[in-house]
Amino acid sequence: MSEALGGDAAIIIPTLGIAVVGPKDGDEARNLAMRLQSSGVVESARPEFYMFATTELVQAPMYADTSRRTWGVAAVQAEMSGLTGRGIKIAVLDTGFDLGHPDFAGRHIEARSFVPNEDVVDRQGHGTHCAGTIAGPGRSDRERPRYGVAPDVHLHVGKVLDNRGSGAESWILLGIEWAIASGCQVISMSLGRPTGPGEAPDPLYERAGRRAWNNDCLIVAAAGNESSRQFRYIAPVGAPANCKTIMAVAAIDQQLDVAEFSCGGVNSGGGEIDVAAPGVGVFSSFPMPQRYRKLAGTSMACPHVAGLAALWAESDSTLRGARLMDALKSTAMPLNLPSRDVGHGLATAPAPKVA
Amino acid sequence: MTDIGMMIMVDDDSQPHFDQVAKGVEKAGVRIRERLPHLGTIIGVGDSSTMAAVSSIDGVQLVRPEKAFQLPPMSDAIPQ
Repeated sequence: MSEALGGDAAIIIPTLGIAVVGPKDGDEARNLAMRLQSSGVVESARPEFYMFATTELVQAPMYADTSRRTWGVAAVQAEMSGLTGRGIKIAVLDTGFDLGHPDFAGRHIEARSFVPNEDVVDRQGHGTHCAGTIAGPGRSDRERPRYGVAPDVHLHVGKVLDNRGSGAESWILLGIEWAIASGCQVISMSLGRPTGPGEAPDPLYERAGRRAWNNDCLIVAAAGNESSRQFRYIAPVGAPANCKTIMAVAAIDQQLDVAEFSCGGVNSGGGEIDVAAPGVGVFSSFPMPQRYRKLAGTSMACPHVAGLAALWAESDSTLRGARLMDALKSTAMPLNLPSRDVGHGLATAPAPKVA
Repeated sequence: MTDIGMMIMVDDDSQPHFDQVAKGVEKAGVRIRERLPHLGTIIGVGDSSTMAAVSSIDGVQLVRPEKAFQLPPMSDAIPQ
């Protein structure tokens, strides 16, 4: 190798088959590089690069929990709107609810189990957490911040997933039927199953969503958690969130960046994301004795949007069904992210009314 | 011969005749578990071989086996 370099090599690394030639000025370096490349012995000759240690920039999160409110309640601007969801009925179709949770003492809650041989009590935790994000207390206390988006909604708890977190489709449809018949304006469904690329929406749920619209009701569903974005894999929105008539909610983190796991709008025809909401580090109620827990997932983002839907429905009695869905999409705060990942952006509450 | 749960979707035009469609489904050998008039859906149980007969009933838009949903294990480390 040193012969090919004409004795100019300053450093030779035989194991890697690399030589470094001492500093040359521009023309001299260019001529040497050309001569070496045409020699037939050297595969490539180019200027030496300087390398720098990569530094990971650790940014302070844009939102954080405070003693007054969770980061999610702040990000969706629920605190500022002044609305509380009063007069609006929301159904949470999930694993049930801890009816003895101290944060809900004295609250009137409709509750029904559609799971054979199981009462409505939540022994898994998912349902209590989701219901808390929708309807948790409107004020903080010494033990916890405000974590409910719409604290005065009339909560309808439908247990459609059993104590192991699984549910037959019939239980879920019975829950939707019950919620519509009960006059709920919003149904929150933090459940679903993965879909494949190109998979079309199920006509049965597409029509369930449309029937809900026709009855002044909007179904909001979690988009799913099957993505692995660090490996550039974006999984399609799950079912039934992939229906046009059902609102699909993605998850974002405290930096307002899309969550690593959040499914994306890979499929068309309803498989798009409609809006995004807080879904990482979400503090909410959990069955006693644990009382509270922080969880992540589009299951946590979905009830933020369901709560916001109640605020919009309270603000304007004509916002129901499809019109309510349009209002949530058109007022979402655009994020500097692809619509494939966050749809119209971060869902937000109505602005406070000016006196 | 195995009994399966069936989701039977009644087409929009046949909604006024929902009960009549349900009778046809029963005649085809399906035991009706639930009628969901708001959703226009019948939930039944029957032998898988009856699905073809059910799908040919006037007013039935779609019939398919019942599916299930499953949450991930409850964990701080697993997205919910």
